[in-house]
Amino acid sequence: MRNGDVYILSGWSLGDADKNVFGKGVLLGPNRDTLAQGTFTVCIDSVAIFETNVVSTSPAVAALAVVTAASVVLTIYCAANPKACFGSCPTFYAWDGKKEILQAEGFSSSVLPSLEKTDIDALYRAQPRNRRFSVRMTNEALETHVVRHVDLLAARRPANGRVFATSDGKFWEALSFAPPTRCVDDSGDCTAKLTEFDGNERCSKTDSLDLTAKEIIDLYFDDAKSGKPGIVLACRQSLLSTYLFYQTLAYMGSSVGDWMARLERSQKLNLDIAGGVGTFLGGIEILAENVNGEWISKGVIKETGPLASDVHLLPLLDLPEGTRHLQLRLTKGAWRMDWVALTNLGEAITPLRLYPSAVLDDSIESPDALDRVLDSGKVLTTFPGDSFTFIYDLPEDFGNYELFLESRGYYLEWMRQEWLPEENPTLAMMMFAKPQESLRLLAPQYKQIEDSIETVFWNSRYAH
Amino acid sequence: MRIDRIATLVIALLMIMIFGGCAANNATRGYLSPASKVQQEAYGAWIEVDTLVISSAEQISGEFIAFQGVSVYVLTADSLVVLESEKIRKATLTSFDSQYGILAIWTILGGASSFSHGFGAIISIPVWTITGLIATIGQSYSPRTTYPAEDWSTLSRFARYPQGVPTGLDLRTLKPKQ
Repeated sequence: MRNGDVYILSGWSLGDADKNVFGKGVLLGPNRDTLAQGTFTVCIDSVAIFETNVVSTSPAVAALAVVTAASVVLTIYCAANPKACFGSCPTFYAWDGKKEILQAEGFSSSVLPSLEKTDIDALYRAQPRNRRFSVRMTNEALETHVVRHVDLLAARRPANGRVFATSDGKFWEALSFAPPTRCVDDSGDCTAKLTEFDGNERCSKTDSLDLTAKEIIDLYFDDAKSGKPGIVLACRQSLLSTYLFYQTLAYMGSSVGDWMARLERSQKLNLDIAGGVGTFLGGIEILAENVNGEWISKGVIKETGPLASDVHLLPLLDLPEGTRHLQLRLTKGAWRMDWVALTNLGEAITPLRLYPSAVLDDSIESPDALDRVLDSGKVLTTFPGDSFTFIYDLPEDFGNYELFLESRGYYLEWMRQEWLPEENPTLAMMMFAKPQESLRLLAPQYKQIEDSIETVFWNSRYAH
Repeated sequence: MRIDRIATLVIALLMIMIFGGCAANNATRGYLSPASKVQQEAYGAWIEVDTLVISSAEQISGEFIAFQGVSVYVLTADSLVVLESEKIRKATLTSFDSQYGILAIWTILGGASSFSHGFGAIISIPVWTITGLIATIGQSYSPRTTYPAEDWSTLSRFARYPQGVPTGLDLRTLKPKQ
């Protein structure tokens, strides 16, 4: 008002030919002390200034509300899918020419001390920048990793070729590659997913009634050259095997320590672990047609672990000349395949073994860690969040070598609180005694989470 | 790097960035009310004035009473000060309490909760950090209007008497907000 008073009206209207304002509120004096409250009629002529205000939600609050909602959804999503949490062994990162990428995972099937084993992984995409080559090993899951050694195997490449390892630890020169000219599976043409090692993987869904149900992929290699054939396959497991492992631990529940101790003491039970559920899931079987039109198995490629695709070679030395059609037989939904090619093999070769020359513990040189991985009587033990970098001195002509990582050790999966409600010793025993029945029993359960498990799994990786 | 170290580092950085980057004012404690309440009170915005007069180089701050002609009226804790607008180098008005501290705590707690996302934290921590910083710092500046960025006729909307000093008002009787 012209005299310094102010009416604050919560609701108002114009009246009397726009000469007055009616409203309900409060009249404050020049010092903003309350002079009157109630309904007022104010003559417009006596008003110095009108001011209206609308309080709206701040954009800042709105933005944070959106982020909060997304964050809560992610938290609930992770909590609701506890068996999709990240796991499976040490992960190894190396430079690919542009950035450090996940290239290998070590001894994924070694879940007990007695199952300690040596694992060879191709560092197929590694690009050393100089003679000093580093491999970073991380523990990104709720696991204890016990690492006996991490050596580098360097195999000299043939001109214009590569070197691959077989599952029995032999190394072969590969002189040429013929990607499939056509790939056909139940869902149709899958050629585009299998011709390049590019991260575009071919993966199918599990059977809703039986997790052991198989599928066939037909591969046609019309451009294959004659010579000493072998098949090269880049693949990793889907999360089915991880899920089954975690489900078994959930069934063991609070007695998981007793179960593991019994398994550790019993060689037979240990064989059951390796041969039970795993046998029925199987590997990727390569089949070729014989003269009678029968499809005969030529061998099996098997890679344990869902994290990093490994490149495997299966020599097909007895493959009839001119064979251009092969089949892959595998468990539905159990594998993610990135690349397949028919190769012309050269000679079997023996790679150089390179021991680490230094080990960095979280960027700080650790002579103790180096001593532990060089001395076969000692082990390097890591916990979630740990990161060790192994440094190797490559030969002078380092660009001419194919690199493989040989790791040895075992790991112990940590029990999760979320799994305990599912404790069921009968079902735990069934996983070993009647694996096929177990895989049928769990099929509908897995089917429910199959579409989301990959996303949740990678989201739940322990930050490093 | 272990996750607990990362968490400590991220939270410390967040606190430094948030509280270092936010708009501060020297308003008397309790003077500024939240936006929802300030419109019912009709006091002037809090004003901090830097003058061009060397002898009074100290900052004058208080309630912005009015702008009239060439004069800026500021009610300090002690008295009413009338300043010549030509001799004001810089003025900052804060019209309400932005409550950005709530957003800062929200951001820090939200960022900390990202560590339950496992690997997803690689995405959710930066999202929380960037969104939280922008939101909190932006919110801290939302009640702020400055001279010379805005002229005095615009700033006068935030005065106790936007129309100018009321006719017949004895300025000696003005009381600050209690």
